[in-house]
Amino acid sequence: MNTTRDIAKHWPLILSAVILLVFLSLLCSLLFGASDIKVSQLFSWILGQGDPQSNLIIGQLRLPRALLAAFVGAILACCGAVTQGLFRNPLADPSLIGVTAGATAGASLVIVLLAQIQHLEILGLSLVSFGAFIGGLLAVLFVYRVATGSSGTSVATMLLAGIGVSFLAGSLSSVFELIGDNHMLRQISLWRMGGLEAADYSHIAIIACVALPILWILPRHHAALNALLLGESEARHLGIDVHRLKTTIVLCVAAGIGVSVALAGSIAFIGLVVPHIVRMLVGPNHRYLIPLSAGLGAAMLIIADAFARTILAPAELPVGLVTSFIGAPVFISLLRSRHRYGMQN
Amino acid sequence: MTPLSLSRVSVQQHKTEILQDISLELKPGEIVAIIGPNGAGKTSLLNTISAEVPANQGEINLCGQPLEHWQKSAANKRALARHLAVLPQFSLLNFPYLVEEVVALGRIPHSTGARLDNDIVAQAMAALDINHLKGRIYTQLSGGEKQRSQLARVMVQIWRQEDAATRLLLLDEPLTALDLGHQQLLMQNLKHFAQQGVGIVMVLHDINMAANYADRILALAKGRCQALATPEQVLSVELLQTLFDARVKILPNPNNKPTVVLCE
Repeated sequence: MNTTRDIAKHWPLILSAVILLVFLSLLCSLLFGASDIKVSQLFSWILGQGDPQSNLIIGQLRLPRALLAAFVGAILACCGAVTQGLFRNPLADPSLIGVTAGATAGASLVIVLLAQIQHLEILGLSLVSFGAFIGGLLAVLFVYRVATGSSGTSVATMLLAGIGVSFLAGSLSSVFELIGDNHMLRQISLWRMGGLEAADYSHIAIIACVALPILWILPRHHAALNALLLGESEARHLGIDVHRLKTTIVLCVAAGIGVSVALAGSIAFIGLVVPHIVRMLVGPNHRYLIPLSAGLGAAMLIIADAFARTILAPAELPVGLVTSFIGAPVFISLLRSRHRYGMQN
Repeated sequence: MTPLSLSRVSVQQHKTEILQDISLELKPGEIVAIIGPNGAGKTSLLNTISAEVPANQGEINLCGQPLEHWQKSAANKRALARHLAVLPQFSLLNFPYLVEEVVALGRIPHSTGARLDNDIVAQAMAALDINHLKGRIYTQLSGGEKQRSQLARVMVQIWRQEDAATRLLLLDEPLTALDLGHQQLLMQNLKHFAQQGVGIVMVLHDINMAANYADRILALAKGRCQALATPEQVLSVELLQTLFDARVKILPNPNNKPTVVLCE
């Protein structure tokens, strides 16, 4: 099979197309929802001449939600791409290093043990979000410490420690579910499915503070990540400071996934499927993989959330359910066709 | 400037001696082949030179600077990668890069611009007879084709004298997966590369290849240097008997290089 990749030549065009796609899906998602908003209403809102009702629905409900979806989707896909590079495994996922399980344990702890004060808000964030963020961060720090010895950080150990920590956090969550009442159980299971309904502008500010640095830092390491795919010592022989690279990636992934899980719950498959699709289209070069994954991840989660809001309107599906329902079949079909685009095992 | 000098280098790992008292002075343009039985420390020696394994005693100088100097800062590490390229025994790459993308990874330590880098990649691919693999996916190649692509990658890393005056190439069993014709092509390429001033140290299992192409042979056994001299001086029935525990005959060869054959 012979292919040529002329991405370098068309890169500005491709990048602008993806940015345009994100914008279009953002606009579209403003039109869909439980109540009807017409295109004319959307335009008059954009021009600042909307009626109070559409101002409320678009400006206060749908826009923050779509923006949150965009940031979360971009972070998940971007972190997925670099995690796969770090583990040199195209099927790796950020949740492998324990962050999702840790966050779930943290959230369950708050929901069950701190039930009386869980509606307390700090900086516009609920205590449950704080619990999730701290839980996720603790899990990653622990995994990282276990895998780091005198001779550097072992990626293989990190993978195994991640599995261990995920089990530990999983059983902790089960304990909380066991002692919680029915209402708490329902809350935990809803949190697990992921949702963006709590979005407001303070959430956007928080996630932007994390997402923008990550989306700035990770693409700058594209050459180093490319070299890392060859193997760690090969990367070192190409002059890459591998230890520093690993630390940077783990920190970015922990912060990014931690915040997105805290604000939107665990949303499955974006981090796995989006980089995969991009790799099939443009190859594994991180120079193109990271920005395109971020863009497609954002667009995909915006669209998935629009589905989640409209399919059962006026009721809502958790967006995590929508992404797994779309993501799992896509993922399985990718696995079956992996030989066609050069994945060997 | 000497690309490599080792003086009385010893390495211990888990309280066992891996290498003892190894000294080697490599001249620019010289090819040294390391031979020895399995577990003699051949790969460890390469790993010690490339700072993958720390030396417990002795001094290592790479391209005029002690090894520690190159490890000091990120900038120094990157600078070393313009002088020193390493081809490991196995490659683990499991992502669907195109062959030319794999080769181009060798230009990462340089900032010479895409146009020049593409030229160099094309030259190296032509030299190693992998031009026809352009556009193919690396993971779908045969073992020998992968080996040649990886070799092109490390050669591209130290391709030009303008990028680094002193250059050193370390190769761990580069011939393993190659057929006879490509073994010859690769060794001729390395010879030609050495003639441009690149110092080459490689682990070889094929004694006759070592005899034909190396300027000197370093014979290792149990981490110690048994001999370090020209092939004519090193390859004797007695030494090969002690090194490999093999019974051999040495025949004269029209080009004055010794030829080793196994006795029945």
